[in-house]
Amino acid sequence: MKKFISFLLILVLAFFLMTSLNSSLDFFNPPNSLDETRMSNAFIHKNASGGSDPVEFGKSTGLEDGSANIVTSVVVDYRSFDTLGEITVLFISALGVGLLLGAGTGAKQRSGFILKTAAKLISPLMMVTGIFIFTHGHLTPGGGFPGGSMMATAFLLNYFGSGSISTDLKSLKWMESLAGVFYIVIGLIGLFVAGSFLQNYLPTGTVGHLFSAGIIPIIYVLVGLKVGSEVSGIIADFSKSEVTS
Amino acid sequence: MIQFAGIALILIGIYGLMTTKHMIKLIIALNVLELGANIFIISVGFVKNGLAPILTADVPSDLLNFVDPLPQAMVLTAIVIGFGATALGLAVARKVYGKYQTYDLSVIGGEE
Amino acid sequence: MWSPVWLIVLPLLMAFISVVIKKQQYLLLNLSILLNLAVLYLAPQGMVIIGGFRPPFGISLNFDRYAFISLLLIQVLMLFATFIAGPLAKKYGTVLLVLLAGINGMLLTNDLFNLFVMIEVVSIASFIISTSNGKFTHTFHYLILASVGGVFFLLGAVMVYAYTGTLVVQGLFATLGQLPNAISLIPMMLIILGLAVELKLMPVGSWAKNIYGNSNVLTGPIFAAVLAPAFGFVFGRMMGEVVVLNPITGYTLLFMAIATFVLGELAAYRQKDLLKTLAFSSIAQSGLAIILFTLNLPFAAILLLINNALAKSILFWVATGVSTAYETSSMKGLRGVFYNHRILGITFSIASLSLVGIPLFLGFYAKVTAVMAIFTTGLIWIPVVILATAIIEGAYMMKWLLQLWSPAKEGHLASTEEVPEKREALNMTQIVAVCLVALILFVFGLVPQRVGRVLSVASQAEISQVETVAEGGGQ
Repeated sequence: MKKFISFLLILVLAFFLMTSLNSSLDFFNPPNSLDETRMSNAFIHKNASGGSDPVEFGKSTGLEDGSANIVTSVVVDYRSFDTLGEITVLFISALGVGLLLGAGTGAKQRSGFILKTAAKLISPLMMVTGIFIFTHGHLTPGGGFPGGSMMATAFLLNYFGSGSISTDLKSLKWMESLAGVFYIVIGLIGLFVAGSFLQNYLPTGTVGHLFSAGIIPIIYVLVGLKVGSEVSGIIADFSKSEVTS
Repeated sequence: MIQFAGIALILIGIYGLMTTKHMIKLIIALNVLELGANIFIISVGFVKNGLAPILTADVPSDLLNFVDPLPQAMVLTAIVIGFGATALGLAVARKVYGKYQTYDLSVIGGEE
Repeated sequence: MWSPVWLIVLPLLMAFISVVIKKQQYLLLNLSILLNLAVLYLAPQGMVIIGGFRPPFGISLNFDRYAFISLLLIQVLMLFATFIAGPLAKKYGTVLLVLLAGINGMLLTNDLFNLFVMIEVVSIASFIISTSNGKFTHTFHYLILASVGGVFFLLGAVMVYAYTGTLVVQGLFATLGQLPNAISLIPMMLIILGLAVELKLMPVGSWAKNIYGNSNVLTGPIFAAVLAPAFGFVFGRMMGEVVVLNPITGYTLLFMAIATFVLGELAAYRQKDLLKTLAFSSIAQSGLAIILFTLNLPFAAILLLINNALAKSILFWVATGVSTAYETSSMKGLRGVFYNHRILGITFSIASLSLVGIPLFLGFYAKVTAVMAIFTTGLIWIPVVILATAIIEGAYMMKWLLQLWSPAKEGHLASTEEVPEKREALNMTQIVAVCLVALILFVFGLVPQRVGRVLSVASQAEISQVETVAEGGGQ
């Protein structure tokens, strides 16, 4: 009965949403290109603080933002403060998981030969791929969050393969803490040098080069390390067997 | 078109949250809801024949086919936040399990 | 140099540091609150850009009088809350630091999406703090509701972006107001629904009675005196700058808030448990603040929020301290308990009298201002409802005061034999701290006009939106 009522309610809600949203957002006909007046055009053409130079890959230099991946430039440059909040969310939830489950002792897993061998082979490769992804976050799809999660997945695979957590958790905590501190310190240098928190004060270089885009790659490496260590910490906490109530 | 998938997932998530009493299933329903919201957000910035907004050597120089990068950045943030809430929710669920040996909230009833 | 950014960044930096030096968590927490107070005093008011891009491209902080008053209230109450909670605050030091950073960010930010991020920071920190009760099913209930609220808020913010192309909070109502009603309806409903969970609005605020009702000396004051006013102020900012109400949404919100207020007070009246009574009373008071903000009366709402925050913090400190010491929070077990703790009893009485709105207390001034202000909107029946409900509130608070002071059974003369055996509820320094807050509340009650003058500047900063629900409905 309860399910039926819920179902009816959902149907009513669906009808309401479809009719009112369909009239305002054209669902079947996306526009041919972004509206000229959209502020996102400034992110794409990199002219939020004025200027009308065309952006060309591998040629343009000294733009207000030097990242070839425009999503990265929004995430780590234009709206970097959101990213600081985002890593804070991850930080606090990792901390909460630790407070809730950290009291137990690590459980021994039994793993078969295939898993054991494959984990040894694959997890270093995954680690390297993760590092590649977050160091190239300003050039290719990816960035600190996918790269960091990939590192944590390598950690998880390693745990499944070896049966216990061999990494020193203390060093993970240090890495997490230092990455966060450096993120804020880089932001504060911006406040003192350039006048606003998290402002890009390094030269932005040529679009598309590995060493370009000022503080963006530095921050993304820090985010990657922080995410990697935090997610690994969450995995380590969940692996503890004894649930104390 | 893709908006329909987003809205459908949002509605499925709400339905799941309303009907189930199982803690893990509640978290799954919450994740479905979040996923639907993320798909909806992505679809907001879509353009016809849209390209991922990444400058490479062979994108047209007028940059007109790029989709809106801002919703994508927002989704990145939203995914991470959803992950954090899920991890914490699972940890709380495990604590409840440790106390009552069940994940079913209707069995536990009102905790005083 | 002295930028309001420090208010967010400093506690965050301390939080990151405190993970590795766990022993100094408490010190870092108190240090950052004190430094924040200094920053509040030194930082110049105005718009602050983050990242070097002006809005709408980048994120900015809006540090005006309204933000100043709310931030000052939060820092002061946070300082007292951590001090009184003592050992518990030591254990949750990092969480409290992140909570402080998130609340400051929430009150300062001038960007709708950044507000969502900050709300999530605050809610996840508050989930963790609520686990210190040891009632994990309640935390789970809260977690699910607040996460769904967060998703709704996010969807609302994204729809606002889709329709208007901007996320800047300041003056957003002007852009949204130009849209047809049918279009702005859904994002507005989603934003309000998203905030409704944390504001404890009627159907979705059900988590509050359990979390508040099982609180300890840390969670009670943090939830009732820090989080509740913080979300109240955020709601005020949203109503002032973003939300465009049409008669349908406006009256729906108004009725939901009135229902929350009336039903909350009725439920509080029926409770036989001190903490549950305070929980329902908090839900009800939050409903009243929403009524005032919805009717666009920020001055009265701010006054009410400040009075509630100060009074509720004292009530929760005393109530949780006493109920932990005597291992019960029922009316029977705590009868006559203030005979053993006279100072706590006096502070509790001051706070509850101010909460109810007895003359000579700040609450009186707040309620009179609220009722008078609502009269000017022409909706005569709302003040009538509020006054009738205030009588209920007065009745149960008086009942509790009488029970807690009087050791005698009804119809018998008072005798000291029935007083429960004395136990230490709060230690000396904690009592001094509680008295200090009570003194602030008492002094505010003596000079309400002066407090009002300071606050009226703050409320003017908040009203850039002139259109009210009452005007919309009267057409």
